[in-house]
Amino acid sequence: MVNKKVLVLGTYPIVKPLHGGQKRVAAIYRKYQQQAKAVRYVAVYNSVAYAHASKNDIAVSEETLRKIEKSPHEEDVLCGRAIAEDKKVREKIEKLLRSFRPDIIQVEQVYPYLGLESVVDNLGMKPIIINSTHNVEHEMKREIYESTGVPKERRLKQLASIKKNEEHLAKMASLSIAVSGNDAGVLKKMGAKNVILAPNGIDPILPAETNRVYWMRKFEMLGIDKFALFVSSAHIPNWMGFVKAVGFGIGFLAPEEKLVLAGGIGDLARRDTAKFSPLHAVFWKRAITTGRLEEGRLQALLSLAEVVLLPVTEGGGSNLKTAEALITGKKIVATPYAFRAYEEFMDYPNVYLANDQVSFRSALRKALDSAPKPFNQAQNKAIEKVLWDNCLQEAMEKVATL
Amino acid sequence: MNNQTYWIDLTDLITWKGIHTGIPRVIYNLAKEYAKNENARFFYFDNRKHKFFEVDFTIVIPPTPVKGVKPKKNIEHYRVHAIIKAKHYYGRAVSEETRRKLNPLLKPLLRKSYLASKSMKESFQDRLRMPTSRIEVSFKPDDVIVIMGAGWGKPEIIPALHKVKKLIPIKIVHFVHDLIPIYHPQFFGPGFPKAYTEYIFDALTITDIVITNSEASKKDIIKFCEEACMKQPPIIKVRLSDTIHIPENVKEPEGLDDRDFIMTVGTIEVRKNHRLLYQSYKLAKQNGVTLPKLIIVGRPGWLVEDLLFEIQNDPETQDDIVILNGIHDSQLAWLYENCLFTVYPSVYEGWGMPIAESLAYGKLCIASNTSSMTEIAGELIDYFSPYDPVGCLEAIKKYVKPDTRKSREVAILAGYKSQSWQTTFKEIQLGIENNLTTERR
Repeated sequence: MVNKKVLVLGTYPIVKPLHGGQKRVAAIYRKYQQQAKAVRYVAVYNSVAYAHASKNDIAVSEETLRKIEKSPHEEDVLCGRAIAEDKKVREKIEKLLRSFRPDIIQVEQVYPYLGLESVVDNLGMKPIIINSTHNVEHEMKREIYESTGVPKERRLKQLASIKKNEEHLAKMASLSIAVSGNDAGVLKKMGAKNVILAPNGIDPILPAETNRVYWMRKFEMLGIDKFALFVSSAHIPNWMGFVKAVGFGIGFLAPEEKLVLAGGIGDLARRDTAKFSPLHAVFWKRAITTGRLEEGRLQALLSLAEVVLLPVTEGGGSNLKTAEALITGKKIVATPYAFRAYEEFMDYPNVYLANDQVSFRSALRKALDSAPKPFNQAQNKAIEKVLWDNCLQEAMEKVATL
Repeated sequence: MNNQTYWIDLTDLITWKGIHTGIPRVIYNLAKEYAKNENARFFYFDNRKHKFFEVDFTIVIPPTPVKGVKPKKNIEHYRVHAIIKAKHYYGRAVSEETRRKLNPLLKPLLRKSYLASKSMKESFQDRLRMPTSRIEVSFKPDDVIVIMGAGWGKPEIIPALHKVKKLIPIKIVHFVHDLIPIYHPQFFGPGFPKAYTEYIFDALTITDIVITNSEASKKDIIKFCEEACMKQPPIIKVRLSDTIHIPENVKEPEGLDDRDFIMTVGTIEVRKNHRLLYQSYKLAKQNGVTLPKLIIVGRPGWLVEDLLFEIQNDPETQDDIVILNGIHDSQLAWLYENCLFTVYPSVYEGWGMPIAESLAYGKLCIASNTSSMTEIAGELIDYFSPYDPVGCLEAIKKYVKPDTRKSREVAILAGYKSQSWQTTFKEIQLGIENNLTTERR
């Protein structure tokens, strides 16, 4: 039990979690609800990007929104700074801190700390700070900035600033939570004194029959017998990973077989293939998009997939999609990189690993043509480690000692 | 031919309007060869019903025109046309003035109604050309379906055939004439390259044997299959026939004077690169060189409106360049027989039929040095870059001289081997049968 009051701060609401970050924070919040004396989650967020929020969440002002509009890739930095610099946000946060008086403030990713530090200092409060990381942010941002064409000078300046803040928070925090062994190592190098590993996990996949029927009807209508599923948000490194590992040459799929792109990734795929090229035309003969999906629909889609694709080639953190695919027992075609933090499951039945486009495609073909193999009892037991409850337990126990 | 039933697709020919040129000419002549065999049958695809109906080959034989007699139209023809006209004018019945006064909300409705009636008219016209046969084809195992036409106009044929193939083990043979819209989309209007790529991809997915007309096209097909990561079907390269039907009455087209002329044959579209010839003629004028008249034989196609305007309104070249549209075989034969030589400046080809035709007439053709065009006559003819008006002009100047031209004509006469449709048909059948036998083993 965590016998303390915990305030969790983030830069996106978790009411209807869609992307990986939201899902992780929602799971952490639920765990605190079970184990802490009291817990609040507050998101300082961009109301244009997130339609659903709780009454505790604080939307940034028009002025901050305008800044976000000018540099959308800096959204999280600007939301974090808004805690100190956006008058409307600052007042609400101060009011919350005075009334709730948290013993622990857990910041989800470095960004809320950019504004929080000065606000807490001004109020003369000395809460325990927990640095809950999701990635090594400056490394991940480098990939995003490079792919979105942020000018070099500006890019380097911003990356240096993020790195400096990550290092500062790592040193300041009483506890740092890392998603993978690699991230834990980076945090230690940054000067974090107390690092605990809490890999990403998932909730049990229990799709409702109505949702399964919805997809079955849809696929029947489209003449789809089986499909390989790639689920991802519109996170540029994920799309880059797909292009690198799978690419557009998917003509080896039969007319009744499709590649289903679920989530915001479909938007990136459409954007990058808008201009005519023979490969793009071929790609869309065998690929379809579903758009962004609510959790129920997504779980049902996952339960019907023949193969799950995890073409992850870069980025820090661990991959929630890997855990989801593993728990369903589905055939998985993945890069070894997609199994970071889940290395022990790499030799499980139904897992096909591939490092380059040629082997990835041939693994996909093989997976589509093979029957799924069942897990044995020990494997079934071990796989439960990927559930959020088990992933976060050790971290909760560590927090209880603070 | 072996004992299997060969089903030949005539859909394109049935809905084709006018003289058989290009792909329709290939389909017609090869279908004619198939028609000589007992186990060849013919069908058309009804893309509204998604069904295949058997027809007789005779349905696509063009009627022999009799001077002064208009073809008879039956009562059904007039009935359908009356409906078409009524539907068509329904959408246009509202005058400009009335339209202005209309509630703006009604305007889109009116527009929709007009477009619907227009599409209905086209669809009716298509149906008019459809035969009345309603004998649905019942494919049997091992039947061979041969598609030689421009299926991308009715792409539904491929999913329909795929559906059949899933139930009955038929063999599909597809003639792929070229992949130009895929690898040179700049020569086509927006949307077409994508639709064409999709069609070719779908077709190759279910095709057992591909027939094509040149090494260049074969290379393109292999490249496409590799890039798309799809299984490549066996590809048979055949040589297309260059024999043309020479009518009894070879007839001079109207409007020509006594000047010597050179000729280029083919639809006037941007890929055929008529602009290069226009530029070469302009260069000649600039340098004070007198060239023979240039006769462009072909109907105006796409993306050439500006060029046609320039050619027709340029006082400097107006008398030197003549465009002839709607030329019949009898007139084309006269033009081939009487021209000094022909020029073919196309940027890219699947084959390049006019080069072969010119040579079959014993006439030199100077052509572009790209794609399949160098395969037709090898060293018997001269080539130039399709991007080089100076090179083209030099080649024209060289062969305007009677001596150089004559020596080439002698070489062509001795060295060029013309090919009949019969031989092309035999090449196709041999390829198909060999592949089917190999597969059975």
